[in-house]
Amino acid sequence: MTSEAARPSEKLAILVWAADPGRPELCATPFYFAAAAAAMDVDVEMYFTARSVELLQVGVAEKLEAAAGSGKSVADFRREALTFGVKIYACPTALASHGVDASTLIPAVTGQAGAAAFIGRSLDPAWRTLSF
Amino acid sequence: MPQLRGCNFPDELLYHADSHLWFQPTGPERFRVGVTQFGIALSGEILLFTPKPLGAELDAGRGFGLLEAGKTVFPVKTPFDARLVDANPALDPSARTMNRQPFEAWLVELQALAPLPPGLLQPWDDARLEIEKIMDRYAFRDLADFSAPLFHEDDRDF
Repeated sequence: MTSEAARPSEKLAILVWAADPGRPELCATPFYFAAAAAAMDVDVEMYFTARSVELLQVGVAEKLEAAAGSGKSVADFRREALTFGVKIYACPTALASHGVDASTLIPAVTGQAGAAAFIGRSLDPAWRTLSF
Repeated sequence: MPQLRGCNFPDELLYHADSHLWFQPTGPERFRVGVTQFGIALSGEILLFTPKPLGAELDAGRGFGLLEAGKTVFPVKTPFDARLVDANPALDPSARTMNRQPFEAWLVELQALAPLPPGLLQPWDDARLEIEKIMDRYAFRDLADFSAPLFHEDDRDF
């Protein structure tokens, strides 16, 4: 029933490539934006590539705090995004490039998808995109 | 004014316990909506409120806006099919007033798209038991000594 005229797009694809575990202050924001969009009933997909795929490895995001001493880890932000139904994809090329075995990813990762999948979303008029 | 564990619950308002919202009738099937003092205590310091566009028609359970409290987001959801007919301009750009004046700082006005099921919105006397159960779940003993959880594992929707 939601008015389509009021909300022309309900789908958002987010490319995450510069959120490097070596720069934890950059790592929570993509998940926060994803959670905010999903909480507003937007279908959200996050595509992780480059070193950002490491944020999907078990035990990595758990050790990172975007704001030191906040008590809230990047994994907490990730969990919130997942709670709202955000789908997460890891780029298979980035996994290989950075020596990340897919078996070490958190079980909540929806699947593997790379550049072509995100470009497909970018070219689809039903979707909007963001990059981090 | 009725109080429960340090939280005010004005008895001229209606409540939807699960969503922590209060409702003030402003016309036939039309309601001004805000977050209860208890709901705000659960969220922590609220900073921002972003409503959906005016005119949006929403199924029950869909969000009419987003609250941002520190580093956490909370959707605020209508418990009935509704049209979003107004949003409080006083909460733009900062919604901090909500923390001090939860019953003056309304969020939106909703126009129900059909007559509401009986009992969906409850007067204080009827809502009290359910609200007390929710307080127990959060070990909420008193507003004065409660610290908001960093994030909620469940029941996080407003």
